[in-house]
Amino acid sequence: MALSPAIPSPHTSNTNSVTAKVKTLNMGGGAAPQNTTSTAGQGQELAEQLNDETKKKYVKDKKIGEGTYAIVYLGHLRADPKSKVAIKKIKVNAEYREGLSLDAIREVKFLQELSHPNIPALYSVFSSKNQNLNLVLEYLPLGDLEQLIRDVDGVRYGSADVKAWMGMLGRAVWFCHENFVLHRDIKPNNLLIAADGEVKLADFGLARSFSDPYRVMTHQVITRWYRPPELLFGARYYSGAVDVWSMGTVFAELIIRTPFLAGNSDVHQLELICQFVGTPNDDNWPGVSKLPDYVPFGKDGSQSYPVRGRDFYLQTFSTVGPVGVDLLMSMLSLDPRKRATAREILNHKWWATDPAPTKKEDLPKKGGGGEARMAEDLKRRAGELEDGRGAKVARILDFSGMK
Amino acid sequence: MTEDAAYRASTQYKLWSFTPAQLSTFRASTNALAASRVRAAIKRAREAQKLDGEDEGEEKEVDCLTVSEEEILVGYYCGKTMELADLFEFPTNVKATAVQYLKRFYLSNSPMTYHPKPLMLTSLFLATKTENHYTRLTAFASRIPGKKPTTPEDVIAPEFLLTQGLRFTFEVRHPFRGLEGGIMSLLGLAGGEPGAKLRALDPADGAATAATAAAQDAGERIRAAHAKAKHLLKTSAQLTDAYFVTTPAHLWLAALYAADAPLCRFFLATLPPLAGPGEDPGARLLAHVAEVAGLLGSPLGYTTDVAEARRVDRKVYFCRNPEKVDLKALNRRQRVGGRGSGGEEGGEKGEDVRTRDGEVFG
Repeated sequence: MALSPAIPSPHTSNTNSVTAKVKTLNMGGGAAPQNTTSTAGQGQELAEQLNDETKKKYVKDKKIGEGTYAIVYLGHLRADPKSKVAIKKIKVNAEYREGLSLDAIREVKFLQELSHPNIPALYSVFSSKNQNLNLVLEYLPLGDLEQLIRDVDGVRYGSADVKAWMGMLGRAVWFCHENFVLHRDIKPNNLLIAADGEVKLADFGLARSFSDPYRVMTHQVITRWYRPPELLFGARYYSGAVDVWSMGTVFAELIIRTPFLAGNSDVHQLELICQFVGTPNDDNWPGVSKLPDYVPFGKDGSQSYPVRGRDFYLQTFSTVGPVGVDLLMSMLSLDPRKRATAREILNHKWWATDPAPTKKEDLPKKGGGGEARMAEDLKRRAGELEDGRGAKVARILDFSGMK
Repeated sequence: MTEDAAYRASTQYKLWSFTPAQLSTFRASTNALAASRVRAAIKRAREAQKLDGEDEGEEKEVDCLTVSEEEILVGYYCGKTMELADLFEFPTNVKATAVQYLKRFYLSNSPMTYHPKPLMLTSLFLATKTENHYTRLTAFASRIPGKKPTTPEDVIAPEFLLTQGLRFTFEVRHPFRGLEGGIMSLLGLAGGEPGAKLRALDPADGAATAATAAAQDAGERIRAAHAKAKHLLKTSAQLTDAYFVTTPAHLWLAALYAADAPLCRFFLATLPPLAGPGEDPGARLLAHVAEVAGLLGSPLGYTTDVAEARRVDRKVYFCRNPEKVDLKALNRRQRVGGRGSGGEEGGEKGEDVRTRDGEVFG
């Protein structure tokens, strides 16, 4: 944790002193007046000095990617040339006249608060000239899970590996929920891989803290293939169960190595859910028909599918065994109230069933291309939903075509 | 993971928690630095005027704001922020976050450098973004009352300055949910076996006599304390230094204590004994809660001396840093290429400082 900001040593009481911090904050006080003599008369304010001090701690080495939303650099700590960090410089959008964008704010807000081995560390934030915001992030060079899933020919993995990856995702989601944060965009290409194999749940651009009772939330979140039925039905009050559904679809995808429910429109997505999970109705999900955008699938001649039983799952997802299948089914419950919670998932007996999860350093890795891939992942606008099937399918075809 | 460990990982704890002594030191150094800057800047401005032949005669020493005057002024505009949030009918969290942003910003900035009036608008707007209550900038600006219409640029120009002063931490942890949870627990207790004990409690300070308290239904008493505590959290807790010197959990307990001390003691006694180093952590907790309750004041809560605030607001007009007055120009200058070059004005000289009035809404 050499890169972490100064953390005061633990004390016994919560209202204790934070001496180190006050020193930092006052550091500028003594040095400051020297600057006031410049002809411009622009003596730096305390906050500017602190910012400059932070900025000087890092060196940008080279640009490793650029998108419309951000430029990504590989960098290091000035004091430690061997260290590696990713510096994500968020571009000021000249078109956007509302100040700091919401997704940038969300990303900074949540990464500042959540420190956990399965969430990318945000070491520092500073501004460079032109008021660009720079996020100094943990360097995650080994791509993302989507890449591994798609590279069917190049990457082989088994149920012990899936267990390790799902365990890391499960701990990340549990930690978010424990801190009252909904991620709202869990999908394989937001699961980045560190040099040591650790998977990190990234991209908090759509995250929010739990709502208060009776206060509405938007249902336009989570990339479609990973979006739960309650959001597709327009629910404005929901819980961590939305993230758990996404986890379930990621779990399924890891096993079958293709997206489990790849709808090309919201309606199609619901149709696929009906077909492969079961048609929601007031019997298997009391109250579903009262959701704002509820569509009664399975009426007026269209086929109604019963909720899939264990046999279907055993057949389709056999590699994770019957206990693993039980876990998957508990994540894909149509009724969000019956869906497993993140805590229940971590307490599931699958983790203790053979085979044991692969040690992170022994997990399959994608060879090469790390820098480029992290740049790809980071330069996307945080919270950007890759919508439209075309792009996605093209990417899949690309990968399957690669030998 | 214990709740304590989780809280200690928050930026509110790591960057924004202080002892009262640390707060005083911090504010004093901010004030001293700003005052020296203001004197130097005003001197420069006077010399420039002399060169232009506008000799204004006798030069007086600039009378800068004291630390307590700065606090009065910031407190006054925190109150104004709350009024403005009420006008917009924003939820409590937006309102409270905006106020805490201002309070945090003015730990390292002086109102002599950046007057709180424009920062107030920016804080409130930023809070709508960070608290999931986003309001479009044009709509936000158009609804701000005042003699002169507020433009979107007025609101947004200091945003960068503000976020930098907040050290890019946007989360403020509030005591509101904790209070709701505590009240639910208390209501649960009232229905159960401890209910009898609850009815036998000493009356709260506000209750007329022991007899009326005894006659009072336990649920009623809890609800009365709830209302008072909630009010304190929305007002005094925002305007005092409570957020800096304690945690959200202690803060709602303190509000409950200020509302009905016997009830708060009863509640604490129902909890499993506190573990922790040192002697009698339970007693220490109670002492801390009582101390914070004192800060929140009587059930009437915190009041601002408006006349005094107006006096300070008039005074600050003579000791403002003339180089930091035009926030829009400062902002434009930063956006087009780093810090200012050679004292050039970025634009908008028409914004005459002297036309400002003491009234926040014009």
